[in-house]
Amino acid sequence: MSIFKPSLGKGPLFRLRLFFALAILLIAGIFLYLKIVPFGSITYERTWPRGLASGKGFFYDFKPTERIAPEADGRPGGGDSLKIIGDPVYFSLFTPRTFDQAILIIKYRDHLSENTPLIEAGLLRDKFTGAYDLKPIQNNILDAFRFSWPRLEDRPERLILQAEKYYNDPEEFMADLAAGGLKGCPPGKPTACVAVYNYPLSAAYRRPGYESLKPLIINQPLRGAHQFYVYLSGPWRLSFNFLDLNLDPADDPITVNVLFGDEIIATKSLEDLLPLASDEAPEERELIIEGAGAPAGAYRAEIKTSDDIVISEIKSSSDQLSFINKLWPVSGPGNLSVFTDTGTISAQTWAPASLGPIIFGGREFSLDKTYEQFDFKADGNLNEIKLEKDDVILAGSGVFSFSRNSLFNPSFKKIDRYFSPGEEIQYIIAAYERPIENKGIKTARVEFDLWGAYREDGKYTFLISAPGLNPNDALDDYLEIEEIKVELKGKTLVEKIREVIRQEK
Amino acid sequence: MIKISRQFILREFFYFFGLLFLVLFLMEIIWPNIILAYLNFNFLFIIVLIFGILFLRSCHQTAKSKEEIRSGDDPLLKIKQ
Repeated sequence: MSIFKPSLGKGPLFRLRLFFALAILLIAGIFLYLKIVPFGSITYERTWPRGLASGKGFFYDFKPTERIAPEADGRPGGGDSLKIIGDPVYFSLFTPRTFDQAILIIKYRDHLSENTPLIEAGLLRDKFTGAYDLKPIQNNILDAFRFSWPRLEDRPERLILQAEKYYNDPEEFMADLAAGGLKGCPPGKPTACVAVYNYPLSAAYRRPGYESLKPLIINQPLRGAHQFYVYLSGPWRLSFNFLDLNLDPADDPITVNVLFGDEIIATKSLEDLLPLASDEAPEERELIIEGAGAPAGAYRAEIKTSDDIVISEIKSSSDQLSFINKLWPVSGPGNLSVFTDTGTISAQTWAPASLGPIIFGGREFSLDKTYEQFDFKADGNLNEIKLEKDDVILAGSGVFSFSRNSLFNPSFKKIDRYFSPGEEIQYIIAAYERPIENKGIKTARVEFDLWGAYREDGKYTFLISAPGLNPNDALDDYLEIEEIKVELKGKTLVEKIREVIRQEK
Repeated sequence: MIKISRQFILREFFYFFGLLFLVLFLMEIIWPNIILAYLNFNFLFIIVLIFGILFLRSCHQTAKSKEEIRSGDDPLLKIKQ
């Protein structure tokens, strides 16, 4: 029989082709299994060096490249390890479907200096605000206090340290904290003497007899997403004027949320102010958000938008209003005065025209390079920042306001890399598990809730941060990553089918 | 009975890898990245290409030897003469 006229009967050729067809179905089935993940659990890992893996893998875009040490072949991150020399480094994880939980396991060697006591991993929650859910990988500050302060409780879920042996029972401490009367602290002011790290703790902030004398108007334009605390009592109103710079053709929706604790009590949105490729001159749009009767307390307002949007004016019925962690004043008349409750700020500008001196806590510092973050330290805890020119991004672990009277901070002090307990801080509460060290390689494990995390083109975005790690300083410090593993957990195929059936009913 | 020739093997492997490439390529189009994450398509394409070229070459050789026999250039025939 000619090979060009194969038999259609059940001869050896039929059997061979049947075998090949089944092999193709099996291979396709394996890939389908890996796509669906029917048992709801899968692990992806990236090791350095990559070995014989031929596919693209699941980990992408380790960037920016200038924060990763180039290898001998010139490719950043292409060698035996990923050497992180700047802070932070971002990467994406592709997942073929959505999951509910991610456990990130990082194996690394720590070549960091004393200036970088923290290593954190983060998961992008919101693209517009750039909000990351940060979790600790390593905290040398906490590790030091763990052995120098008496430990009231030491579990991965909760670590309580006290400057003196005030308490023996953690529950008694938590009860006193909730009541606002901790031993060794000023009565009714637990926020003044408790520092927290990766622990959700909020105090009921009250100002007895508070009455807003006059509405607050902030005329200083602010660029991009911001958050602020505002003290409200009874009927309240916040109004915002927005301007779209339209520097980026992407849509720029705006959402304003007002939260009490973690609960959103009011929300309003605006669509993109100027459509794509619009030739119109930017026009201000107003957004008003108000409520009838708010129980007295500190509320948090989130303005979620892109850097293309300028908040040209904020009007508040309350004169107690402080911006949280970040302030980006732009296009003002200059000679700006800002107050903050933090002793260390970072300043950065993208505009050469904004370079110049910054006076912080009475000391003069110089902002002399664009795109570079400068850290400035003052002596006290309540400091004034004087800016000759605006368009400078100010950030710090505290609050900022445009007048001393407006400044208030209802949250607990957070442990950052500059943390020093001073005489005020008597307690530290943290949720932190130390990395396990074996032959110089440390292994840290952090859990992220993927519910509501930002996912684009099937990718979640993560970061690895070592605050203070600077590629331009004289120190030869870096973080050497050997392996990143992500264990993902989600719904099984059976659970998903049940859910779909339940929804259709 | 099928003649298990080199040409036969090359053809069947060419068909197998060609079809596998096509199926995986379609899956990649439907669900982007699910194949590329694990497998570099270039490698599979090179395998298809190699089997395809070798198969065509063997077809060409078979056709050529048949032509030679038909035109009386068969070296065996020459020896007999």
